[in-house]
Amino acid sequence: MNFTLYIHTFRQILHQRLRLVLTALVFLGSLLFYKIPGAFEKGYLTAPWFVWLLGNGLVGKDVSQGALHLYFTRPIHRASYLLTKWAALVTVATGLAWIHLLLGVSISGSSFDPAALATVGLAAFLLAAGMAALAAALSCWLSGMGDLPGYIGLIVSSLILKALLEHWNIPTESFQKAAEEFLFPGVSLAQSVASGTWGLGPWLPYLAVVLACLALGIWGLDRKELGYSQNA
Amino acid sequence: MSTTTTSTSGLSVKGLAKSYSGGRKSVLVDVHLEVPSGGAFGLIGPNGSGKTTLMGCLLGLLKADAGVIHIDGMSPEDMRAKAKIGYVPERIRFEPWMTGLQVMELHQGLAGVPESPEELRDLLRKVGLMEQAWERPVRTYSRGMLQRLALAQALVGKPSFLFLDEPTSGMDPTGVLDVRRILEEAQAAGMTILLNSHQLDQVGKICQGVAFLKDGRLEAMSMADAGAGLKHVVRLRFGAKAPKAKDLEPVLKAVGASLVPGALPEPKFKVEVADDATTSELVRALAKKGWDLVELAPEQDQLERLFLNRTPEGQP
Repeated sequence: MNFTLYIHTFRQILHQRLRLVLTALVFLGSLLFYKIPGAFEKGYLTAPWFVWLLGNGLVGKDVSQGALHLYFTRPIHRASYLLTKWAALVTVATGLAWIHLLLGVSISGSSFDPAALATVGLAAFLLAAGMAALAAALSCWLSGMGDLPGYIGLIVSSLILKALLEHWNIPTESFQKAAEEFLFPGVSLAQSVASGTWGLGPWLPYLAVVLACLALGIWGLDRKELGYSQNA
Repeated sequence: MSTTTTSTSGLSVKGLAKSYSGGRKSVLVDVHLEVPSGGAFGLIGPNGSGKTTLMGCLLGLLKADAGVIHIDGMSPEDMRAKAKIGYVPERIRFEPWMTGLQVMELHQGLAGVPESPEELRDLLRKVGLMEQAWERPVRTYSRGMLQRLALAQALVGKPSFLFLDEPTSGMDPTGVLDVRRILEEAQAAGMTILLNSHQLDQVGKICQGVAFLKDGRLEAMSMADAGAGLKHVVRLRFGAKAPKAKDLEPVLKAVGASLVPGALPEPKFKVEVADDATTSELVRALAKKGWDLVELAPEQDQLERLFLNRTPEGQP
């Protein structure tokens, strides 16, 4: 972790005016959902929106804008660079999701249950961390802001594959579960809370996806050559 | 690439090779280079000769196919080596919303040196960036101002090595002079400088050694040797007692020089000499004749001679 880069990533996020406007629209618009009974339990689902709206091109933009050249002539490990950018994005997305959750609870007028709020808040953090890891990995491999199209491409591919499996009468339950765990990396805390069991079961696939994404991102970044062109 | 630490100080490159497109396009071939600690070395060569690629390998931004690079005995990927480096890239692209001071603060933090606003202000003053511009976003900067800012960020933390890729391109003459002064001061302070520039006069004035890179192959030499043994043209201007071309020709022939016919109106002449030794002989021969030689100037300086001799455009 590099503290200078961590603060700089916050600044980068704050200087994306159009994205901030879009995020504000999503933030304010989605508050209305808290009027629906039971919507509070799904409050953590805003985190992926904040990740993609603010973190799209997390690494790819630094590459295409040429900033990475200078960063990597400084004493910073490439792994440290990626983990710092990821941590900053997780902080911003989680922070926004928590503020959104608190405002939503206030607006809904429902009774305030600290335990339930903490559970949804933790789920928001876990989903933000998972989605940011996926975004960071894609951003290391796809230039510019290609990570979001890449992510959408993965979702569409998984839907096509599922349809094909169904067409060939092959059971799709395991595939669907794996695809969901990979494309929406979070932990279903509600089930654990309801059953009162806190085993490692739901955590293992989540941790595997997050760690694999970060490792994939670091590998991609490590093998990246930062020349002005491939010609000279 | 070697990652071992050796006791050698300065910059050392041995057998460096780099290719693109899966090895189909060789850019650097068996490059050897030694720059002693505190020395200044110039990299010259035509466009596309591999200078920026060499710089990228030295900085650890590009991965070499073969060879060993040592910066004070360490691999360029070693964080201790990176902590000793300041770099001015050829294409300067700071984030447009940042101010000049913010760029400096960022690089001070990234360099891992103690926070010192005074150092940053001193550096910005040193490179001649106007104080009114420090708090302005860099998107409002001219090319020359960006060059100055890039040089200032490279000097953050007093690095031991300065890698400069065309540091004066787009600068006005004052800026060019400022850069020369700063690099002379840096060298006096013991910094090792590697300067990649098409401004050959700059390289000639700053560097003690020069390397000519062409088709990925590198030929290194001292500044004293650069271009000294090459055929070149000198301009002669005579005063009141001037020879005619027909009188001058036998004298030139005797020392191994030749007149470039019709190049200049008499009493000015252009003369092709084989090397620096021929020029000395020519001066002696002209003096012996009693002609009133008031000016003898090389048409090209040492490095221009070298450059023109080594590139297809300059070859007869």
